[in-house]
Amino acid sequence: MFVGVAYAAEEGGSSISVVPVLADIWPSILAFLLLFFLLRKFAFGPISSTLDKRAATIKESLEKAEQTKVEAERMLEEYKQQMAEARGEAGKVIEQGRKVAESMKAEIVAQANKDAEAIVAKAHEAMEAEKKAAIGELQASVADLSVAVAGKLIGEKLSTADHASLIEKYVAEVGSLNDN
Amino acid sequence: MEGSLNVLGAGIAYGLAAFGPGLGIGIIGGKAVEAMARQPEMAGKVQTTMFIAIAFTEALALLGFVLALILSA
Amino acid sequence: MDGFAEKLASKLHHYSVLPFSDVNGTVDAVDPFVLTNYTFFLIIAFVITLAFFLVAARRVSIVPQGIGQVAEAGYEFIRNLCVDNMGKDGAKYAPFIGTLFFFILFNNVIGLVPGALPGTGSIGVTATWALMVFIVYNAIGFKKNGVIGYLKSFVPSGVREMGPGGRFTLGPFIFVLELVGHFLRPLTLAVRLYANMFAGGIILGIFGIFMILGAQQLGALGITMTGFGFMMLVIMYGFKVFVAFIQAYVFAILTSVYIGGALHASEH
Repeated sequence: MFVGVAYAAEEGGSSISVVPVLADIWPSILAFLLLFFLLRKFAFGPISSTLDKRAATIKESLEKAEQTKVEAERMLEEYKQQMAEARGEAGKVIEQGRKVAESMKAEIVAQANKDAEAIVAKAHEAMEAEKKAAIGELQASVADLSVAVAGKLIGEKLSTADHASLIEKYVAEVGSLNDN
Repeated sequence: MEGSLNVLGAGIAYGLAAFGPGLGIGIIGGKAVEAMARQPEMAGKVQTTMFIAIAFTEALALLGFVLALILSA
Repeated sequence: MDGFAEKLASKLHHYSVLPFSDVNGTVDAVDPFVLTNYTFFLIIAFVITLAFFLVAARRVSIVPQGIGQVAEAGYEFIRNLCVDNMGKDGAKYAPFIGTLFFFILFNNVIGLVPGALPGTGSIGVTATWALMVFIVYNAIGFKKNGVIGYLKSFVPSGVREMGPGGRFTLGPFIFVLELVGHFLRPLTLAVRLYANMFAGGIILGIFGIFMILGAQQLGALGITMTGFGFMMLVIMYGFKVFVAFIQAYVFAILTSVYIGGALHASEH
């Protein structure tokens, strides 16, 4: 069958040949070279530069975005730190205030106590002194009075010795009063 | 009768010339798939190498094809 | 099965290089300066590629929009491919690889339209581009490494560091082998693209013929043949779409690998 094909092809006057035909060679090289120069100038050049430009643009915007992100993160971190610092500071201030207030309170109370004690003590002292003075005065006046009363009562009947012992007895009695 | 013998020779020549490269390209393709399955990250490199290897192997079949056309012409 | 051979022959005739003005004629040799059926579609692909990119480039802006996005994605894909295969300064060669990729891609895609031919389905077209790639990458290699340095890189450094015995027996052998390999590169580049695009059309043609022959027959055989032909036609068309993209990609990636190899020839 294929033998027949070959024969038929030969009879047709056009068998398949691997020998290039010159009429195919020059148009193909011309077409290629023309296409190459035209495409390089008007298509591939612009496309290539656009691709490069786009890559650069994308890279740039990505870099910018990255930069912005880093900046934002840094700022956030800063704010957080500042906030924490402020919070700590405020806590410290409050704590300090409380401490100061407490110490002031303690001081005031202590002072008050002390003052009160001092006042009481002073009052005591004053009272004691008054009392002593009063007692002393009283003793003197009682002795005088009693001497005068006694003299008035018994007149001159008492001797000096009796007088003295009487006074002493009396004073001792008043002194025992003082002991109570 | 001479023409028909030429055509017969051409057929046999191409048949034999296609036999070896056919096996060879099958092996290359299979091995390339194996390599790509094992290391998918190297797929691009494997593919290029595969095409080059196929081109070398195929050259023999193409020589047979040219021979067949010359014989049958 | 009557008529299969004739129909296939006419299909082969349709896919052979013919003057565009006389595609049904029986021309043995095509004049060098005539518009062929392949160059006609090549020029259409040229116009479409140029128009697409000129329109897309106007829509390209910092904020992606519309058709500009497609062109951008395509160009970025090519640029990444260049950088991956050639290192950091690979982006410089992206316009060259990009033109190759998109021109081949648009050619291949035009070949998907029924009745149209892919410009890349002619060996003349693909061989020209492959030869151009060969010249370009070798020129880059010579320019980057110097004539001696580039030729030296054909022999692996391990052999160069051997004793005189190994150096003088293995060295030339590897050099010649490497040289043959370099000359095979444009040949395989050309034939790979051409054979894939050309054979795609032929295969579609064969299943199309199957359908037509089945429709001409009566009974279960005819229905089976038509159904089989249609099913295979759909499958093969899908495969052809895949091939149209993958071959453009392979051509571009191999070119970038060759240029990358020439750029870094002195490093290994």
